[in-house]
Amino acid sequence: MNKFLHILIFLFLLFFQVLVADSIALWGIVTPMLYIMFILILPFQMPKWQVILLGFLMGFCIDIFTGVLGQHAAACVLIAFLRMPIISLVPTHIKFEEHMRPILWDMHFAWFIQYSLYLTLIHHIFFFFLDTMSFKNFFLVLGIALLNTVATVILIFIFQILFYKPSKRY
Amino acid sequence: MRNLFDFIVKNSYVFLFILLEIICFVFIYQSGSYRKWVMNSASKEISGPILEMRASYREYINLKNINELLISENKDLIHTAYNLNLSYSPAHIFNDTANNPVFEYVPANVIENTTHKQSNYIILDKGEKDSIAIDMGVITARGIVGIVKDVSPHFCIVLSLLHKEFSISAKLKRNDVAGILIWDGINHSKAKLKNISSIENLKVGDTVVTQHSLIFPENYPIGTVSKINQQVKGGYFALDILLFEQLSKMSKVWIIKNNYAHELSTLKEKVDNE
Repeated sequence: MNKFLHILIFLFLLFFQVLVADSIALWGIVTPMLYIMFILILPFQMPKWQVILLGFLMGFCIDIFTGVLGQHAAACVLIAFLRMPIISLVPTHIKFEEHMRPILWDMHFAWFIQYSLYLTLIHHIFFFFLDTMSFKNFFLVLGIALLNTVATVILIFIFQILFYKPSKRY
Repeated sequence: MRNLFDFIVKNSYVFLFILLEIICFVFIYQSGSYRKWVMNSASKEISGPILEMRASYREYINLKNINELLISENKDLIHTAYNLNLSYSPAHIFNDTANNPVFEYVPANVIENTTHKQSNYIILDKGEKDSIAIDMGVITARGIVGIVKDVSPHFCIVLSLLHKEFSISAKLKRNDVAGILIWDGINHSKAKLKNISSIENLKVGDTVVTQHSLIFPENYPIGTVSKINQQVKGGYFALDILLFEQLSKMSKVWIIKNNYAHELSTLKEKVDNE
């Protein structure tokens, strides 16, 4: 059941990204990349190699539709790898329990905003510098990455509020 | 030995991470072969129909804008047609290329377009079956868009004007001052005209048009001069250009086929080989 749900979320986010989110081009530069939410909300207990592999798969599927093959995949693999360190880095008073997932309603608001902001920021900065392949327009690219980060995080929050509810205890 | 083995098993995910990153970077660096790969296998089979579907619903949403554009295009065409009738001159007899025009225009739909990156590409729904080839120009009614970079049977990839490697020769319409049009990666509605030898007699608001080439017809509009940079770089000046076409919003474009391109290039090759 859980696996099935993940596949559904995967497909939904993939098609939402390709069909809707990529059409958003605010001032021509802001295109939220909601699909990284898939990596953020994978269960805490999932083995690290599995998270990395799923991140690669997600990025690769997005790459087939947009841009240069490997760009999204490289950024996704990076945040999939850094997910656990970030989780242990973000301070929290909550006791982690078996049934909890890294979603807005299970954790504190402050925890989730830090968690999603850090990972989105890493992903976007890495992605946009990978795209530029130079530090010529360093601050411009950084600025674009920051704007996109804000848009992505806002969209992640909207989706968390709309489609998620606290997980039940088993 | 046992410890080493344990270490590898315990940290296998780190190796997986490094391996996958290497794979990604190999893909990125082989971007030339990527395009062929993606266009020939995956894009056509998987993403092609989906991107086309997306293009069609975007087109539906933009119908009002497209209509307005069509009306203004029609207005200009009627205007030129009437002017042609009025100003009949012998020159028209010699310039009449109606039987075998130099440039032919193929309409195409934009199915994928980015503007927020530094290396932007556009994918169009015309390919080899519509006899599209590499190095053809792409325009809209308002201005130039890019140059065809690669072709598959049903699609083509266009190097957007908004790409750090894009460059064509352009000139000012008023006094034929020539330069090289590039994009500096900063603003998606602006470009730069560099290698200008002198900025005397130049004004803000001058129209920038294409120079004669095999890719674009001569005097095709590009944009207007928005700023004249006073500082000299390597003996040349640079101008900021405000583009006529907003590349983030277009949905219909024209691919320019030059009927004499092949003939001219073979002639050039012949001379070069001698």
